[in-house]
Amino acid sequence: MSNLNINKIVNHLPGIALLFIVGYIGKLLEPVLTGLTGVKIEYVLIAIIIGLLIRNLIKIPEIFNPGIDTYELWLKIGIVLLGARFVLQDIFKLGGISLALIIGEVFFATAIMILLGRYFKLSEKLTTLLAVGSSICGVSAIIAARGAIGANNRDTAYAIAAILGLGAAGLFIYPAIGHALNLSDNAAGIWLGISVDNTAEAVAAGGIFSEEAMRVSTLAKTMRNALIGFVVLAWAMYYASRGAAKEITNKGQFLWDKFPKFVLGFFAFSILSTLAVFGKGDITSLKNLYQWFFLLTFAGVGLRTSISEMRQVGMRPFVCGAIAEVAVTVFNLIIVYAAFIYLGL
Amino acid sequence: MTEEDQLNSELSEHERARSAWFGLHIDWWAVGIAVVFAILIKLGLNVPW
Repeated sequence: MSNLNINKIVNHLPGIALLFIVGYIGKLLEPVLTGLTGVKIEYVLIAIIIGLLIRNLIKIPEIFNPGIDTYELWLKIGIVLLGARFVLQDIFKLGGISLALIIGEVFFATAIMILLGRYFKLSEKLTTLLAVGSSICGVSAIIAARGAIGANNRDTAYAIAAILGLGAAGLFIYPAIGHALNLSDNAAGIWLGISVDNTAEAVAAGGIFSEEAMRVSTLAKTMRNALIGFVVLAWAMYYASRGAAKEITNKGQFLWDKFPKFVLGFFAFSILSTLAVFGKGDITSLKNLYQWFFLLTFAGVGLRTSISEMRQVGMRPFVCGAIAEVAVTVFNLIIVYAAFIYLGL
Repeated sequence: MTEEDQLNSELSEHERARSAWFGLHIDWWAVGIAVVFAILIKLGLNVPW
């Protein structure tokens, strides 16, 4: 291995160590705070809050940033491992319900965002990026759509900051609403998975509600992520038809390029679980392992959420996004509640 | 640094986090690392929480 690669690995270590320390403090404080308050306070919430405080109260030295950026890798490893906790029948049932609800959510979110974008006089491409981010997959979808629709850097950065800001707010508010409405773990998990825009925040919001809700919110969000290519392709074709973006010549290749490959790993682990490759002890170890990886992720969610960066978005994109988010979240709550009543979620 | 430079720098930070590491996309790294751990667990690794 070249010196360059060794240096690259070493550069990541301080930030990874910080993720571990913040996450582990959250884990250690969970029983303490739960005992003091008499209310179950998940380590997820504690790790995120500690990370948020560090990011926003002190200036984190540059040396930590490469390692903090790795939170997405730990998230994806955790999601792949979590696939082992679903047999395919679960995926077909919960994933199928999620998929049907997601399709409704995508159309509603897109329509409401376009209407609000026009009302707030946002540029068409910024509106599109916000629509893609709020309907499908947060930052990943915005990045994927950016090149495909030919959006500029400023619109993309605004859309990312708005989606991250709204995701951070939802992280704290939605699980509390779910508890107030007495939602089951399955219903809360699906609602959070289809409502919270960024994957790390969707998993974390489920974790703040309950461990079981985190399992289901991860499944619902994974199904949502799987649709990223289709939504981006539709927008790319729309802009290309108006001469505002490049024509997509090979649509199959485009879909494969945009497809999040870790979703394949998630399904592969579920298939292995269905084939009983993993024994009971193995499943326990896999569960413990993904919790460790998620621990790093949740610390990263807090550590990369900068309130000062959110302020740069400007009021109009943020208010437009916020109104759309509230509308979409209420819409999702209604359809999940209906599924909760009629399908016994 | 102008506001435009700052926006570009934040954007490239997001993109950097998603780009290939050592020539392999982060998603494939995630699948590979998960498979390695699954094999270790099948071989008897016990992970406590």
